[in-house]
Amino acid sequence: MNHSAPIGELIATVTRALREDVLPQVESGWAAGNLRACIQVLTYLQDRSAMERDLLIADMMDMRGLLLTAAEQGLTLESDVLALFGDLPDRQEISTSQLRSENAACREAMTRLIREVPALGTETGRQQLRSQVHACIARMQEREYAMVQSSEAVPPI
Amino acid sequence: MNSIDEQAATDYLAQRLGTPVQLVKMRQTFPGASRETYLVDLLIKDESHSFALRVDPPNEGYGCPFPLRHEWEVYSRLWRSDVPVPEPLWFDENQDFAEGRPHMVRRLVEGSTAIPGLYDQDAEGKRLRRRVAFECAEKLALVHRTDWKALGFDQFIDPPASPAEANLHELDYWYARWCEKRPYASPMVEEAFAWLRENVPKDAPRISIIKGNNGVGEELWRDGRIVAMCDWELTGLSDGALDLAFSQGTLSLSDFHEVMAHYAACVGAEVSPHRLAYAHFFIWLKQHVLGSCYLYGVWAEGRRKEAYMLSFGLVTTAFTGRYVGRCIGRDLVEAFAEVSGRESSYYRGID
Repeated sequence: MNHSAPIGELIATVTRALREDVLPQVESGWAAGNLRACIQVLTYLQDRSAMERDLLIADMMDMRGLLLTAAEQGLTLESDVLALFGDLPDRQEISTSQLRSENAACREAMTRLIREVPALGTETGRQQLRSQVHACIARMQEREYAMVQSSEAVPPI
Repeated sequence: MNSIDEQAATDYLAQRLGTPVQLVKMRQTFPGASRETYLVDLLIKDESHSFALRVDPPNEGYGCPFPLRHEWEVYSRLWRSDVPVPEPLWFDENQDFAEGRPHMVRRLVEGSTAIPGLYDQDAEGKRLRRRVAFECAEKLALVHRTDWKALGFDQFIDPPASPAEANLHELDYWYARWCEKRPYASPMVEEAFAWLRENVPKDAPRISIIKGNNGVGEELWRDGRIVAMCDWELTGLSDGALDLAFSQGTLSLSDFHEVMAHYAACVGAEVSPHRLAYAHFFIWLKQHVLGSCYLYGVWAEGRRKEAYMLSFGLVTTAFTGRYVGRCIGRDLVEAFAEVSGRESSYYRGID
């Protein structure tokens, strides 16, 4: 492939053209609104193209620690999730789509954990686990927010 | 993207109104996540008449759990009450119009969803913001005092068994929607429902009609007053306090505590700090579920393809997720005190 410009730069060029050259010429309320929405999504994609892999891996590392702690208190982990946890340090080598699938599997495991917490371990253990779940969720949401932070400047309404 | 062209709309309105009409102007409003909405100006016997045509999107891809019929039932009942709504004219479906999609027509009320001068940084701007916030509080109190049983709202909405169960009933409804429609697993959503369930208020003074999204940008305003309350696509029966958290910044245009005191005087009951804090976290979670399941999710299922479904479904959910995620597990009142006032940042275009 001859053209190796980073995806983010390509998206930024299109976004700028739409925002500065096209949007001022669009009069219709619906069309202008939809165009602003496109600009916002493109802004999001630009940031996502740069940050997604690191975010997916960071989320999984975070969830791994929590899920392994929960497993010690009785949570049953699916075999695919356990196998994945053994390979996590090598994740830099695999495709982004594979990372997305693995991240989704971890999130499903976290969902099961949250549903099963009331039946796990001791009261003290449950409280500690719950606090760790809350802290993990807060970190994951902050990471997701970082990906949309610059989109905030271009709302569609 | 006009999925209904001007000629088709003109012919249809002429047929239903039973008179020749001349189209003056037709425009589609943005965004239309829940319904396609067209504002139509007609000349009928040389007199100007304006209508709003609301149509369910193709493939039942409405960006909320409720089809248009739900909204029609709300309008047709509130038209018989003191709540100001535009006159609903008819609802129909399976007709040779709009590919048979459900649609309704209501009269257009003179007014605007925007308020000129609202953000002017002078004394008049400040007075206007106070008047607008008070007006919003008064009209919400009117909705919340309305006798929904007499109007037959329980004929199409399952009501909570008692005021004490109003918030839990609503929480259960939206958790069921999440479980039914979720496009991905979200530990935040799962834990947030558990957290709010442990803290659900039981001191709602009554079961009320709740409007859903409200305030500037939703209602029609004229001279600083609401002349018509619109967009009832999320209407339910629950605790009126939930609407106080869904004003999209309108109730915060002036001193929020003063506005809440005014609302309490109008509705005849105080809103406890716990109810108010719960309402805000619940509404952020509900917005998150709406964005995930009914905007992003409907796009992911291939039922809608507009870019704004992604805009709201991907970007807005990251904001609401952050508001809830950073507070999850904490004391509701303390956490709300930290984050209150920030919820309006996304809507900077209108507040």
